[in-house]
Amino acid sequence: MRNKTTEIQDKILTFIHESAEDTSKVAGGGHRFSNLALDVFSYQFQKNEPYRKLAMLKGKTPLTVRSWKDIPLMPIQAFKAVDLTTVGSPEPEDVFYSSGTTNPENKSKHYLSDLTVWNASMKVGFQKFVMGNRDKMTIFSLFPGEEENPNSSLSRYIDTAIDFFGTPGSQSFVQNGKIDYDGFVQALESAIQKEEEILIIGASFSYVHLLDWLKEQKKNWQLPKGSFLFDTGGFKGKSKEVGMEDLYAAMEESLGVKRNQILNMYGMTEISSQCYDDAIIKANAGEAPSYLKQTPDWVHVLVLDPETMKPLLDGEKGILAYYDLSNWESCVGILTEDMAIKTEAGFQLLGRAKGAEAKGCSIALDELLKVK
Amino acid sequence: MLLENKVALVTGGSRGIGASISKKLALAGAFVVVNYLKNEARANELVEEIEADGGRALAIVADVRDEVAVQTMIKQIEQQLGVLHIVVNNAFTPYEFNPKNRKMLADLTWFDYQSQIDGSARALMNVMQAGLPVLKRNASSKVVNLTSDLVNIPATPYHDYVVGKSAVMGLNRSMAVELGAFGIAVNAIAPGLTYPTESSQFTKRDVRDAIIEKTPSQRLTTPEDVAGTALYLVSDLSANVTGQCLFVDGGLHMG
Amino acid sequence: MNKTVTTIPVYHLPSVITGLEFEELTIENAHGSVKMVSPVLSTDLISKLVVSVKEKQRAYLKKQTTAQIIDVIGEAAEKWTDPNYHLRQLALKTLPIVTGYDASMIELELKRFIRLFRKKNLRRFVQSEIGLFGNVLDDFQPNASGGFSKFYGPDLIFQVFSGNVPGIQLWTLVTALLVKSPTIGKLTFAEAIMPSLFVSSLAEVDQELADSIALVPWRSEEGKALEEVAIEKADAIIVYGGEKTVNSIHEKVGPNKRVLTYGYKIGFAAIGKEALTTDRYPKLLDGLAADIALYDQQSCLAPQSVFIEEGGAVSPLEFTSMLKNALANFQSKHPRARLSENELMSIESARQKAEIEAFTGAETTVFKIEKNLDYTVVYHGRVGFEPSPLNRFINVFAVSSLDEILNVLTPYAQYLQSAGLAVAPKRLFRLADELGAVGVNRIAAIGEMNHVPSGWHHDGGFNLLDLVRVTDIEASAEYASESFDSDVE
Repeated sequence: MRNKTTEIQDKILTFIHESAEDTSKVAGGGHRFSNLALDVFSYQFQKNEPYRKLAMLKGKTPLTVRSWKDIPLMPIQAFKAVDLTTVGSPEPEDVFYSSGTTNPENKSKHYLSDLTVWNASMKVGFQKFVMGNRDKMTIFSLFPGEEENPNSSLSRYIDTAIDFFGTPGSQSFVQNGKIDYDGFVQALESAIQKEEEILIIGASFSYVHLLDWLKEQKKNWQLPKGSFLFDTGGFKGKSKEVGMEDLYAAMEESLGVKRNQILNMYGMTEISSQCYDDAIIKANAGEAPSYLKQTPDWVHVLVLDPETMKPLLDGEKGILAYYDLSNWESCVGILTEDMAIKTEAGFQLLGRAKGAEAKGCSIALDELLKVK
Repeated sequence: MLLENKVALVTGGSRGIGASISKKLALAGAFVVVNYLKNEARANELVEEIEADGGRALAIVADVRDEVAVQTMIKQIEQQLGVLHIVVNNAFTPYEFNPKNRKMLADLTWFDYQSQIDGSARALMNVMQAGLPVLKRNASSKVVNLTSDLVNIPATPYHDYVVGKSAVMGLNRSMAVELGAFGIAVNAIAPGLTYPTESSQFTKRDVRDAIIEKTPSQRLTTPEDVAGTALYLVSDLSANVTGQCLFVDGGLHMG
Repeated sequence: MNKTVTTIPVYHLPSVITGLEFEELTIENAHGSVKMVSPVLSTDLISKLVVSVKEKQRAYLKKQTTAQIIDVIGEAAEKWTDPNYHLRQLALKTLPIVTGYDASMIELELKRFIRLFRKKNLRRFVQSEIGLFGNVLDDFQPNASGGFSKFYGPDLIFQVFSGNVPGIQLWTLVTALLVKSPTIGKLTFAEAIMPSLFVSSLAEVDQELADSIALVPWRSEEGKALEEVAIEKADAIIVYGGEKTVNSIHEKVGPNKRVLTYGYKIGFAAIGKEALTTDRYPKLLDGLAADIALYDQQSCLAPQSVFIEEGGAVSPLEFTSMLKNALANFQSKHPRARLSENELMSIESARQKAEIEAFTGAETTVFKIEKNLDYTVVYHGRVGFEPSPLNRFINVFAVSSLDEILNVLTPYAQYLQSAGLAVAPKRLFRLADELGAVGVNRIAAIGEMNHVPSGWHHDGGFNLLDLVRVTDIEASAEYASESFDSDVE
């Protein structure tokens, strides 16, 4: 059992590392991705009972599935309802819980018995889409680290970024659930003085708090050239409702960055990889960014028709399906609740689908949930 | 493809008419479970052949006359494929179609009848009872039963065989009535003398010629002919067709 | 595909109101194209409409006898029973485009529905609720306590319609006429056709009677000021709509006016084991499928969950598997409307939830077509209750006894309305009583859940009685008056 587990991780690690060296090495018309995705699926079919049962319900088993596109998709809601793990997790190295809800039963759980693949996926993606040719940057986080916020995949992500890519002054400025504005200002002003390139990492709502505070204090800065803001999350009923473009405009104004110095990352508790837009890649190349999300080589996405659940053509709006090789411990195929449009240049997220209201006089499920 | 994402079980699917049907359904996109009784090598060979043509198949051994064996087979299908949409009840107790040596009515024993009934009605009962819970989960399912045109025109009176196949014909209709409400279509195929197959090798040239002479199409039926009709009956092309029996015999019998 | 655009007025104005500006809203989809015309609204116009309909009520409507009013409505309804009637044809052409419902289903249902407004049915409606064939609305009638009583309807009713199930608005429009009250109606663009056309039919029969009704559509979010004027002027308000709409109206109205609400409701069906015999189940299946599929489950009369009792000849699971097929058949006859992205996602999400139940060990089976979301049947091998995302999505629960369902229904008491019941006579009354206690207000046969009889009690209330107020001439006044007769001896 151990062997199989090691073997599958080794295959994925090799894939990720070869991708880091040279994307064309693993591209190969997608065959390598597809074959490895099928291997991972077969492995999970054997070891992850709920996933096996889902696959059986769908009639999509290792015997019938022939391409990564046929691999059954685990609805993301399932991570709340059931433990999805191939290893069985009496003592996982880590469990990631989703944030947001207070009811633990409504939290997604993502078990990881071994973080090797997760780390490799994070680092290779971060290097390519965030760091570019840089080795180190000064990283200031407006989101708590792991110590402050255990079991958060984003906290672990940020700690890993700071440990691996941050200069010695890099740190998170969140303590006891609050942003330490004084500390942040001090560090920021010192970095500005030294003209260090800064990377500020935060969830969308952290920026809302920061911007509110800056407004109150009537402060604004001009970040040093080559600095970036890194944003993730968007808004899911958190803090006050702000549209992303409004937020970016406010960030430009208060922090003295151009729109193309703001990078957005798409990640989830339930998956082990991240997608980024092309802001930094294009900035480094001196080109205009599309802001479309880029997938690392070990991730493929499809956009599905909500009526038929069949893949849509590029440019059509539907539900995002996420295939992630680094998700070897749970499910390689995940059905998100995000609406998206895919093009050759990347994919664009269009937020969650809203609940439906009844057209007649019968009360619909979504409305009842709202009133209950 | 006509049978994309469908899983089909063909009993007695490794040789003769069964093998042709297996190949045909696989070519149309179905994942085919080739059920066989004895010859594992042959069944595997067929699976390989199907795979070489770009299809998918799996050989599973089971004596369809044995209730437990059939239940095990259906369980295997569920575990490995999850679903089952199409059942072709093709297997039957080996029978030698030999007009020169057939048993006269007076010589037949109950054992002869019993063995044909076991291979037809009993096999059907076993497969349907084990398979129905799985079929009833689908939006629509297809069942095809192989009978024979000898039921209507017993040119050579193979009494025991005709009894077995007549039972299939009757069950075909009554099953269609009950299962229609579940979205399960049940139809039969009655081939004429199908040549070449192992069972028909004893039907010598003189008899074959005599049949050909009376047949409007002026030829015997091939396994491939039967497979084509089977494909029609298991696909959506035959939507809303149920309880029917299609004669694939060049027009020898006209229903 | 018919590319011609059909123009249709989606309003009704008293004939004295003229010189208005109009605006158009075009709806175009696979079914065709409709241009809906309605007046440009202002608070001034609403005030004018109020004055106009109230005046007509004083000058005309209030002088009509209930019998005369019934005659007019009945005659208008009779027109709609003629397949060649021009307004019926216009309705049948435009309703499928605007509502998305299958054209042949609308035709069939509308035909059945309109018959409820025949003279004989209206007479039964009035008789069943008020008695005396409504004479008490015309004049003082002797009452049981020795005096006389007369019923009065409100001086102005403001009706707020919602939803796109064709025709349901007619119930309260007719009710208002029967109590001789004028109506200002706020239509919804989702279905403004039937009320507008039916009042036009009334005008064809009796212009003056129709002039006591004004119907205009506006969008709630854009018409707050219009709504305020209408609420201020009205004595009674009738509201159809979801919790949000109903609550917001209640807030605006304050405590002193009468408000009748028809909120969004939940229906269910329950099938006893005695009904699941091998000879009876096919008819039940067809009926249940129709109950679920008519108007895509959007009507509050339709079931959202089904309870099936174990122990019949057909098991709940088997019955459910056949229900899936019956719904597929219904789909081929009367396809479901095209749905919005949000509606599709709502179904998809409910399917996922059911599938998660299925693979996490619960005794749950999801019956559906993989190809699309036309219908979904979820079988639960335990008692429970699940509201549906609608649009032909049904949850079936196997229960060892129908007595089990009371507990699971209780939390939904305020939303309960229709129950389809298939049980033997000896259980019917006991079960009906228990369900009634939980909040159910209507028990129908399976297959008839979407069809109410005239004289039904909409959401468990009275139609006419809830609107009227009473003036009594007490016996003392009557006797005393005798003494003031100049000719008294």
